[in-house]
Amino acid sequence: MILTFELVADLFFLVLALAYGAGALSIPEAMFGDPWAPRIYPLIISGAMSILSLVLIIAELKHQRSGKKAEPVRLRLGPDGKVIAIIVVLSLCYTLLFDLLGFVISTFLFLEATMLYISKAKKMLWPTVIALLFAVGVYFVFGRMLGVTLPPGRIFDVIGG
Amino acid sequence: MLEILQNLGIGLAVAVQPINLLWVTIGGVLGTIIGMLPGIGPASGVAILLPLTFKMGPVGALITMAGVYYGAMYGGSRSSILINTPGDGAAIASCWDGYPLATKKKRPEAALAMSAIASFIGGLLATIFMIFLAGPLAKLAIKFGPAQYLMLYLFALSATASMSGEGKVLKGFVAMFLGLLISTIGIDSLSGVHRFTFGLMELQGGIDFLIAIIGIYALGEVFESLKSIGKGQTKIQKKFGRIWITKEDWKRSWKAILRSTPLGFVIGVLPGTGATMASIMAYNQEKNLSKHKEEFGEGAIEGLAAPEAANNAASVGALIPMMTLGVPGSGTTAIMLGALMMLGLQPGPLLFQKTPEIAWGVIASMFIGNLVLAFINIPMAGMLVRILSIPERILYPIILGLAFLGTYSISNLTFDFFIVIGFGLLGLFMKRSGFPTSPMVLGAIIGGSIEEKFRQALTISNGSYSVFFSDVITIVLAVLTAGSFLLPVYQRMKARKQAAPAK
Repeated sequence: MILTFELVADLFFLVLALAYGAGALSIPEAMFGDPWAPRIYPLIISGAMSILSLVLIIAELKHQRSGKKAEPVRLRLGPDGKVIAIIVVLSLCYTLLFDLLGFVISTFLFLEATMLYISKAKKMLWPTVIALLFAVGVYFVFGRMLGVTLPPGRIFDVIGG
Repeated sequence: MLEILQNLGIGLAVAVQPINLLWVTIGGVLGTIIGMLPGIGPASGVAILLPLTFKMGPVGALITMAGVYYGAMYGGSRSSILINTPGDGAAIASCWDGYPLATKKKRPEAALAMSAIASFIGGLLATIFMIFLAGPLAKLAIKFGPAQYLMLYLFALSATASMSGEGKVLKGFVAMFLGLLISTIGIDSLSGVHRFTFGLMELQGGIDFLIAIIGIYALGEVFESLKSIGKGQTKIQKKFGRIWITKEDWKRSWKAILRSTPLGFVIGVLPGTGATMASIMAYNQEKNLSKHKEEFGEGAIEGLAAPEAANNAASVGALIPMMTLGVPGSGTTAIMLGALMMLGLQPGPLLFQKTPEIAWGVIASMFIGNLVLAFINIPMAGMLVRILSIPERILYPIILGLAFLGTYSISNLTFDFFIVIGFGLLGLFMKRSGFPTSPMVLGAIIGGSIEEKFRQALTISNGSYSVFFSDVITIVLAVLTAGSFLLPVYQRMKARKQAAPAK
């Protein structure tokens, strides 16, 4: 047996379905009507999904046994995995700074950082101009004209007292 | 007939209001741009443009979203023709003859014009078909009770999952159940019980499927596209002669357009199959019927006209089950349904009965929208394709920025950024491991309704499951559901039997 990426995915869905089923059993009973009513539907989903994932796992193992090529999953991030990981980290930083710095500043920083990272910081001017235009433009078009509430930034409350 | 004209009159009165003319134009232009850009298709386009529709009211929102959807069908072929990369999935068949026509035969002008003309005719005729079909279907659906709806939902889900492509049917169903699983998170609306909230206040209202969709489509697509970054972009042609076709081109293509339009329309109406499949089938049909098959793939203009007419007709057809039954048959229409529900509008038969001006207004706007799009895509094509030269390093961060903006505008919760990032990674994981995402999205959106109808039907029948097979409609739908599941299994077994003697 070789642990391929497909097999990992199938196993992931099997475990998820089983854990979900276990969770469904611990859903509190309904106060009125059939006490089991809120559990039935999740249990059906869990059962069907577990069976199907199991079938997928068996099919994948059979496939391997028939001598087809199988590549074991790598735990290292490939070059494109690294790019994605950094973009995700930047997105998480954006999330954490969003309320604190407000929409305009945090969005500007996020766009500037992602653009510079993707383009390997070859050109500074255009990304900066575009990030600035986007952050300010969106704030006025969506925040002011279209009535989307965008956070102004808690930090200004502190500074402004 | 008189009734249809009356309805159309009501609709036109709404559609020609200046504000609605503006919305259909904006929707069409944005749709064309979204369709052109590889990496974002109509589904993610509608999702990230959501905040734009909040202040429009339901009519404006629906007109704009429909415009984005069929506008994307026009735009998708621009990049197929010029850079041999489909702008969205439905434009893949347009690469096969569109690109050779532009490069080998050096006639990009004819290719751009023909694809827009075919799209225009396909969209226009399909809208006429829709006018005749929508009314009767809405009337039929008004009789549906919870049991009938449940079976209809199950058919839509099962058809979508089983159309996931060769060898992916099981994965499609696993993805579908994952979507249903997501839909159960939050407070159970029928009993008030907390389910899978892990004590987090943010999860009590459930995971908003619109946020899940933005994650899966917008972030997932960007993550997936990041790997091709820096591989160099194809230079695109920016100067064109007169963008038009010759008489000879038209002679070769008009039959193909007229044959592909009804085919695309029917495929669009059916759940599970969408514009992508419609365009591929139309291409194959033309190739089979053609007297000079050898020209296909070498720049045969009818090979471009057929899929373009079909995918536009399919995008119009796909709106029918969403609007008349409230049951989406594809990723994009599912998102539109979700967005409308958020705006307080429940698509379905009652939409036609209670607010005919909305339902027919949208349909009438599609005539105008197709006219606008033909104008944008033929005389202005040369200007528009410059958008394709936006470098990826600027495009992708902006898509990410728009995705976060859309997320925040839905819930005003920064917590949801974590959910959107999580779903982006889930989308990437599923794509890499061969699990299709549209059954999951569909499951997440209609999963809540399925449970509701299921429990309502059982309450009405005092717990007897025979209610799901109690009349012609439920039985027909049950047979169709079973068929949609068993057909790919049967095909596979047949293929195996044929392959066996060869060993």
